[in-house]
Amino acid sequence: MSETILPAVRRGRPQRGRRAGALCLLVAAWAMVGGCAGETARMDLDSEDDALLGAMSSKDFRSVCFQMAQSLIRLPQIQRAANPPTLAFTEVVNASDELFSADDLLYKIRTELVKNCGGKIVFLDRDNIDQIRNERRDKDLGRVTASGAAPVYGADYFMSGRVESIRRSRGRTQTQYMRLSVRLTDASSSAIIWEDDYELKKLVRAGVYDR
Amino acid sequence: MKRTLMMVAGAAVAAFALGCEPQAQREPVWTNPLPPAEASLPQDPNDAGYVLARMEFGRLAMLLGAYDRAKPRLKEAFDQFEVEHENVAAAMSSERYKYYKGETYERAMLCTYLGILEYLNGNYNDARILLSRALTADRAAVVNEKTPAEVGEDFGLAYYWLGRAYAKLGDGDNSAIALRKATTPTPRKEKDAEREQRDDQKMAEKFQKESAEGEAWTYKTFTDPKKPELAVEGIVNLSEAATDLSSAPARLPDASPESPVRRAAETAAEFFAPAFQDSCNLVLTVELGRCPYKYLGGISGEKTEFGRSLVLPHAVRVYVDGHYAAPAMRVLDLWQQAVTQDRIAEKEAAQATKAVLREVLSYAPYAGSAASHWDISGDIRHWTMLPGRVYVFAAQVAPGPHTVRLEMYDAGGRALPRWTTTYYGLAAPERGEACILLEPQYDGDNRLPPDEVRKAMNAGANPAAAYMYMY
Repeated sequence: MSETILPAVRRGRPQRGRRAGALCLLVAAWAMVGGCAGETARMDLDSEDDALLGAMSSKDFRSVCFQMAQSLIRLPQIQRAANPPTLAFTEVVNASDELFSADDLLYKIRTELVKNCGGKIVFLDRDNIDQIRNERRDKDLGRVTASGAAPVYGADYFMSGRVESIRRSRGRTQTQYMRLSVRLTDASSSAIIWEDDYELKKLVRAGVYDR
Repeated sequence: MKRTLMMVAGAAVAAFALGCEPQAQREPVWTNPLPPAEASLPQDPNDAGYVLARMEFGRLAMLLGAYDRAKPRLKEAFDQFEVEHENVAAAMSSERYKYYKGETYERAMLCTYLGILEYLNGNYNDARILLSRALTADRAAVVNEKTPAEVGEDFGLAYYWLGRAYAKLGDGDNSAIALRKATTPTPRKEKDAEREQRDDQKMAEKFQKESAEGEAWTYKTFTDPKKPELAVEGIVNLSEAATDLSSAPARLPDASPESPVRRAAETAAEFFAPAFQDSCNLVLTVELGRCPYKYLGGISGEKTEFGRSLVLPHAVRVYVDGHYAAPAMRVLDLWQQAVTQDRIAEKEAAQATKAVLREVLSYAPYAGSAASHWDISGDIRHWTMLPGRVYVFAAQVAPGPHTVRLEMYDAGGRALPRWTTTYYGLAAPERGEACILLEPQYDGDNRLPPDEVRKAMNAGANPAAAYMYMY
């Protein structure tokens, strides 16, 4: 009796063992390959960066720029102007305690304005003013071809901004307040003809084992 | 078998013979520790030791003067401060599994170092931002309503550099406020402060007594005319050389004919005045000793306690080209920062609950043995390379290279000649300022070549014995 059963068991065990072993190897290989691989996923631009608790998220950044651009386009001095006014971007002062390039705000607002103003504003590129001057000089000297002389535009308005913040912390709790303001200044009279701001405040509560 | 035995015997004979050969003694060669240290840094930002490893590396790089290598690593650590990390493992077992972001003073110190590095690079607004963040980190030390607000307002080193950064940005009002706050003392209970002062004085007296005996023996041994082979050139009898703070010289024997010091501040009120700071072209940050350490406390080691590393020097006098300039001002004591930091009540409660549960389970049948394997210990990791105290010095000196000598004194005002450290060729500019970070060490001016050290050891000197007083 035992002789008839044992061979069957002997035959069966290695088969089950091989199958289980192969399965284990497969799982281990998957775990190793899958575990080592990084992960990249496309996110919605307006999604909250939950893991990053800095005062300003990309959603805030985009919101403030859209809001500012919309507000500026509705300005009567621009809507009713006989000739499109010229606008130069100066700088955004980062007086906050967030490490970021504050000028990026103006670049984004400029992009939104250029895309949506329908030719009602002429934008001046003062970032490349040195190259523009060099090019003009070369054209004047006949070093490069010129299709027609056009003066370098002067600015009717300057756009500038300021970022401020207040950060308070006590134990595990921290509040972060931030204000971003952008203004338009008349280049000849220095009058501020428009200003808008965007405020945000966040409460951050660190985990029990944060420190 | 016989052949194997013959081979083993042959190898042994060869080893003996080679061992008898006179061999040239190898001198220790300095190797740059930064590349291997940098290569061993954890790359995964979710690694629990990611921040701490970068803190240690950054500090090591700064001590070696490699600021450009320190900054990106410290910045990587800084970037993790506001990222949420899961700490489930720490909540269930030992606290040492938590994602380590540092104590409040360690975070403040990291932000301060980054701020100083940005300042040195001329990025004054970034310096202002980072130094402000240092103050925010320090404010998190206050948790309880009854804790004095000054506990979160006493990070003098960050305030000092913030004052300088504001001045560079043309914000005089904030500069004045920050410089004034750099002098805010850490509020301490009177009995704690008195006890620590007594400990410091006792330690200083003990050291003075033992070192006087040692110095006298050293001088006698190495100037013994009967043993000319032990003679050390230029040896000084330090047991007689010591002076105290009240009789410190205004001029050193090797002083230059004229004092290069044009303006220096003797008192804190003069020193932290914006106009004085603005006039200085030589700014020194002097870091001394070691930071507090941590040890396990509580019934099952579930608590984390701070231990005090004694820093023997209490006062620093600065000489420029042999002429007394001014004292360096103390702006930070990391022990005071650590000991006044409020505990997080919820964490303490969680740790205590684990300890009680473990104790109860240990008496239960079956579960008892499992409980004994349950690790609920606290977390004693800390930024080991931080200094114990930080002083600042600023003066207006004649432009050009100078020899700066730091003389130190203990809690009783007695001179500590072994801590004297001299820096050569520190160049003060005509315009702007030279900002230099200094980390004087015990025996800083007493560097002997290896042959001399060997000779001293052979004669019975035991320089390592003094290292317990190093800090």
